[in-house]
Amino acid sequence: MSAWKDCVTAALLGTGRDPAMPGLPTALEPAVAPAKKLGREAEFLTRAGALAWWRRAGWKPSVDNIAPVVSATGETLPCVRLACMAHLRVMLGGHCAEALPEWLGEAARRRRRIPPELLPALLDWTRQRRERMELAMAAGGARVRWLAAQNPEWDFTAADNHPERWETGSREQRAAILCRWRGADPEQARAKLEAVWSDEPAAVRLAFLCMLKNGLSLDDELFLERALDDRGKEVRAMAANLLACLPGSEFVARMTARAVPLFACKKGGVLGRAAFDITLPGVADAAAQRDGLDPKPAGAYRAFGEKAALLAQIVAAVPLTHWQQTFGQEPAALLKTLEKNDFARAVTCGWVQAAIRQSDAAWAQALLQTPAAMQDVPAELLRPGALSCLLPEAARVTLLKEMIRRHGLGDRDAWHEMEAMIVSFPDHLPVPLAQDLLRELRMVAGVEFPLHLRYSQTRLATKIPPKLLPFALDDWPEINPAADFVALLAFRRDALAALAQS
Amino acid sequence: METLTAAQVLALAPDPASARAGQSLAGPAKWSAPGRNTRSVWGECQGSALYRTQVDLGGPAFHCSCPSRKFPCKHGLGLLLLLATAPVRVPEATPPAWVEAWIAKRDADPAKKTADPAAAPAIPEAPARRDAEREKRAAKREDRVRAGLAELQTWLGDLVRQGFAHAREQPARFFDAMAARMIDAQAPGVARRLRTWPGIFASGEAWADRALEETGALQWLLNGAARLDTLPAPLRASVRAAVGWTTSEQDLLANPDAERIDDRWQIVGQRVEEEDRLRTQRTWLVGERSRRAALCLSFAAGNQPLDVSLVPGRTLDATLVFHPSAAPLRASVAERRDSTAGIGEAAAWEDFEEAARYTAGWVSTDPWLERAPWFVRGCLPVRGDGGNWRLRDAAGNAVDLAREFAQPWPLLAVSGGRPVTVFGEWNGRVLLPLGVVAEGRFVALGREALP
Repeated sequence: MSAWKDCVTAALLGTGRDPAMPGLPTALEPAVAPAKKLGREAEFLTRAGALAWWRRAGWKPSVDNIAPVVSATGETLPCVRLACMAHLRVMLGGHCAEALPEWLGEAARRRRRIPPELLPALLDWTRQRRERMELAMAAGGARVRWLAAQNPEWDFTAADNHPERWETGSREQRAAILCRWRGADPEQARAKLEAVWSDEPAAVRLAFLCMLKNGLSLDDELFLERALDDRGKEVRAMAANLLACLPGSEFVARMTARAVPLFACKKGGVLGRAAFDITLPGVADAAAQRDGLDPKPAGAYRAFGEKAALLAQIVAAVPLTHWQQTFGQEPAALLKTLEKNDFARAVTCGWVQAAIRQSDAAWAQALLQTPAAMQDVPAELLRPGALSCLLPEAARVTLLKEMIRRHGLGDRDAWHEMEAMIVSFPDHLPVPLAQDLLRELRMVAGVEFPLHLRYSQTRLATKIPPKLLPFALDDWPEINPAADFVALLAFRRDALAALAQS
Repeated sequence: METLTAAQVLALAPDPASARAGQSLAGPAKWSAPGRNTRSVWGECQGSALYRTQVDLGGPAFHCSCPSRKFPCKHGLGLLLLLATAPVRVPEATPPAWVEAWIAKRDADPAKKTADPAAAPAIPEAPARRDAEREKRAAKREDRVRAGLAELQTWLGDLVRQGFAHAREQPARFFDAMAARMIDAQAPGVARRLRTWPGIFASGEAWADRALEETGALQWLLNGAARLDTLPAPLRASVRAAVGWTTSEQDLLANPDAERIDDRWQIVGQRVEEEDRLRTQRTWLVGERSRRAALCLSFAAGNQPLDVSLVPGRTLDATLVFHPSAAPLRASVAERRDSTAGIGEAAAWEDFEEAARYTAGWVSTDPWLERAPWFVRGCLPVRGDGGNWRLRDAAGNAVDLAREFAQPWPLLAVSGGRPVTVFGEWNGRVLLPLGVVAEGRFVALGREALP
């Protein structure tokens, strides 16, 4: 409408410059006629205002050309009750959020779904993490799958629905797609990675290489061998690390070959006990360095001598069964044989690392039962629970009960170990163990509450089995330092009870 | 009395911090001896001291012995959340004396009762003198407003003579000073409009169009104010309201000529905006039988409470009294009878064309109307390639959603890609959704972000 455009132009430049009054539709002229006596500017604005008003009253919507999305399929499951929605809202708001995974699992088990308006917050909470995504998908009804596909940030199914994002997506999206492919078909996933490998920057290569941990097998060996020659130092180290987890690989065979001449076992001494005679390895040659043997390692081995560090790195890459077969001894006996050796610390470190890499429960048990050998292992090699979480459940329960009896909850280092084990239980702790824990927690809450418990009390509260919840809320001191723990237990009790009623 | 859902309780929170604090008090461990009957819910909460918290479910109305100046306080919210999430923890009981006393006091409070003009308490002291003083004050204000608006006319003339391009170069205080002058002149409605001008003049593409619409509207307001006596009564009321004369609720309720409508009012949207520590809450209602739209406003300075008795998603059987206006939308609750959870068959228009027709009706009678209520069936939320959100109607027409709309994803999730009924505010350019009905269920969208 050009009359309006004329008005806007005149107003922009100022009516002082342009003596002409913009024209109006004739229908409007009578309405603005009285404005003639108001003065130039007022008359101009009255005319412009009338036109604006006219335009606004005559506004009509315009046709849209955005392609509509395919609508969601209908729901088959009933929605959770109002009271349950309230609990969910509280958790998605960040309060008692630790209870969310359990709640979602329970909602799905009871065949209830979450109302659609809370699904965006739920998908935000998952942050593309696989285990969270699975929970959300199980409890979100048909709508959550549909909704996730509408937003690339939520779209964990991108690998299936939008394979082009493997080339066009962000690094996180691409890593998520690779992870999903790897879960479905490890070989094909690696082929996809190989296709883009040489074009990616080192940081991306490292991130993607990490994804191969998932579904790692000897089929990956050739690729990993090539990655040992990668331009990026961290990529090379990661490739060596992954190869060391493959006992049948050439890499492990090379490492074993390096280890064999260094170890001999002799019987002797006054008591006729077996003992190792260990030779330190020579200088790391080019081949050794290609295999990731670093004469000047950072991290755990930096306090070691150069050769002792090489020894530990070699041992760490040798299959643990090698020692049992070569020397005909069980892990505990091997550790005994190693006692008092000059290089005991380096070899123990290697074994610890190997036990973690190879997830060897027997070795983990033997190492944990040899505290004298373990006390010198640097903390970097042995994050809390790294070995104890390898133990079978029954052994973990026994160990935890033993540690609770011996240390209580007041020893910080012991607690970190215990906490890692507690968290390693996929759902809840066995009832008797949880009871022990509750008893101890009540006791320290009444006297002096250690600082380290303050930070882990909510994580602990998610592991108390639902059966114990009705009894877990009583008998706490008036001013309770474990208030967060009790609050989360109370929340879980109410939230689970509300779900049970729906 | 039906209890509120947790979402509705959280919607009562004066700010997000209160909502969070309320949630942390929603556990039964926080409360000693909570109880309820059909009328109220109560409990004692251990904070820095033992606080007695009680809620009259009829309002809801809150009372707490804590020193917080927020309203409702976190204890009140926590107690209602507890009731919503774990009703078994709040058993039926006989209220203690402190609850009885408060409820009795509320029932006795005349302000709570329906204001009946015939029963208005007689003014004991000489009414003639009071009226005379009141008239004198009113006349003085008229003079001030007239002088202020004359000054504004000169300023506006200068602004348009020099051109918008020149005005755009001015610092914000160029507009703010005039807004402050309008406050002094007791024309707060004009002042409020002027305060938005720095934003309008800096609003990017087509800013000059918006600036001209706004200056034109203000010119018409000046024209109307100058010849107020010659205008028909409804238009006169619109002009006076736009300039900033307000009608007190008491006067409105006492006005026998004000339009009154009995209906079941669906509470379809609510939004709170804050400016200069003054919070304004707009609650939109639509009558089931009358199909009339109504806007209930509540203002609160600082930590003062907003009205919490209108909860989106409920239906209120009540008499509303409308402020006189050429486009009567603003209303107050004259008498409330009953309130039920949920919204039945939503009263809504078929498409945007119909919405545009109603809007044209309002705008052509009251050009100073800033927002028109829209209730449209069959709306499909769609997202453009640029991430911009639009709403498409059954006829294939589309409107843009406001950029400040915080909840496009929940709206899309609720729709599931199928048409839904949307309630929102239309400002002439974009729609700000405040509520949606899908599969017979109402979901409020007016708050910042879910949950």
